[in-house]
Amino acid sequence: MDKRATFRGLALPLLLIAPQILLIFLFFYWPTGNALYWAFTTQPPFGGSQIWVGLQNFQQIFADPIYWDSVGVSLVFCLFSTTLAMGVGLLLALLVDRQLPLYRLYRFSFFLPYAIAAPAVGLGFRFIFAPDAGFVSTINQIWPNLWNPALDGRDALILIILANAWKMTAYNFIFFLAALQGLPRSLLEAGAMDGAGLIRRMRDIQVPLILPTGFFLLVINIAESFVDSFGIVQITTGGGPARATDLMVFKIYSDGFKGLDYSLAAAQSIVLMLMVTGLTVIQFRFAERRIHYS
Amino acid sequence: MIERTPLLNGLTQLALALAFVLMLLPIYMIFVASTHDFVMVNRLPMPLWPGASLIENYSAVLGDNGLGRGMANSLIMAVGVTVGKVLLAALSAYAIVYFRFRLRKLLFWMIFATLMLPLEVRIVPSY
Repeated sequence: MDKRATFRGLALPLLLIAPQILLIFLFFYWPTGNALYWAFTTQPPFGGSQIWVGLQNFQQIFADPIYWDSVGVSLVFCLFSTTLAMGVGLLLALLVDRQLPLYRLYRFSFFLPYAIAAPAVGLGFRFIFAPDAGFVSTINQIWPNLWNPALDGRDALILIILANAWKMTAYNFIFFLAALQGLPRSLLEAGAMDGAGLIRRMRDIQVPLILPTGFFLLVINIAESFVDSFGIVQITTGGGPARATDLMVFKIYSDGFKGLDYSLAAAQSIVLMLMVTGLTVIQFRFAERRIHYS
Repeated sequence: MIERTPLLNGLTQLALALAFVLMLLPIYMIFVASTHDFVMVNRLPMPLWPGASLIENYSAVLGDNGLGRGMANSLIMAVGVTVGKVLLAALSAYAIVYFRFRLRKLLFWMIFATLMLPLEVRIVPSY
């Protein structure tokens, strides 16, 4: 399976990897261990040390319909945001890769959205899509209340999906473009000589060859939509009208920091982590067999 | 670009121009909003052209009371994090890819798993 030269040995690779392992142990596994501890205990209401309650926190969240609502919202958000971001990113990368005049301008400008911090993105989108004072408000003047993220849960969800997709499109674009530019031009020329038109070449030569990149981006996009979407939600909708945009990660924050129930928040974050890990494992199992690495 | 496809080229440029407008519109709107004073910003519909308060707004923000210190902090943090990240990741990736040793898969998944958990969960215990 290994087509590259590898070395045997144990001491040297362990030495090389040691700083990274130390860092992630200190800043990830130890706090996660702590969070696990919090998830299985709870603080008595009038102070004092933790008492072990076993699975009670987990039972509490699984019995809560509000929790399942937020799971549903998170899944919808992930699905639409990922599809949109990857589809548009791929399309733009294919178009820019053709290297028509002005392509350098597009290459630069399409990456910019990712460089903007999530709260700024949220603010910008809230600005543009605000029902009374934004860019889209002109529509509201024609049909009153057609678009109102402050009142309509579905509009609010569309808003955060668009904001997240906007950002991730830029990210996907740059990776897809890099992958496309790594493909040898002679393949496309050979396809053209065999009579394949432009669209056919894109569909049957370029896209299949960049599937490894696509798989990587799929994993990253899904993980990001569950885990990093917090900034956008916090700034634009704050959980949305009647919890319509209450993503799982936002609920962890509101239960933990605002509700001051760290145990519940810790339990939820364990569930979230397991969910994202499970999705990733599924993707690896499903896709590994179909993708050939050159 | 191998054969002549003027129609598809035209469509491509059209699609790219449209995407350009859509992708940069939020950034442009934020910029325009930053150049207006408080009254103009809240008008309906939002003005589309930059206003006159550019210098006033930016000097207020970048001064000592504003983002100046924050930007310096961010810069230091960004440079430090980038250098550290790239160095460590390059070392570990080299070790994982180019060596065959017993713990290889385990260590890879340990490092990969750190992507899964949101930062907010780790922050309280770290503190």
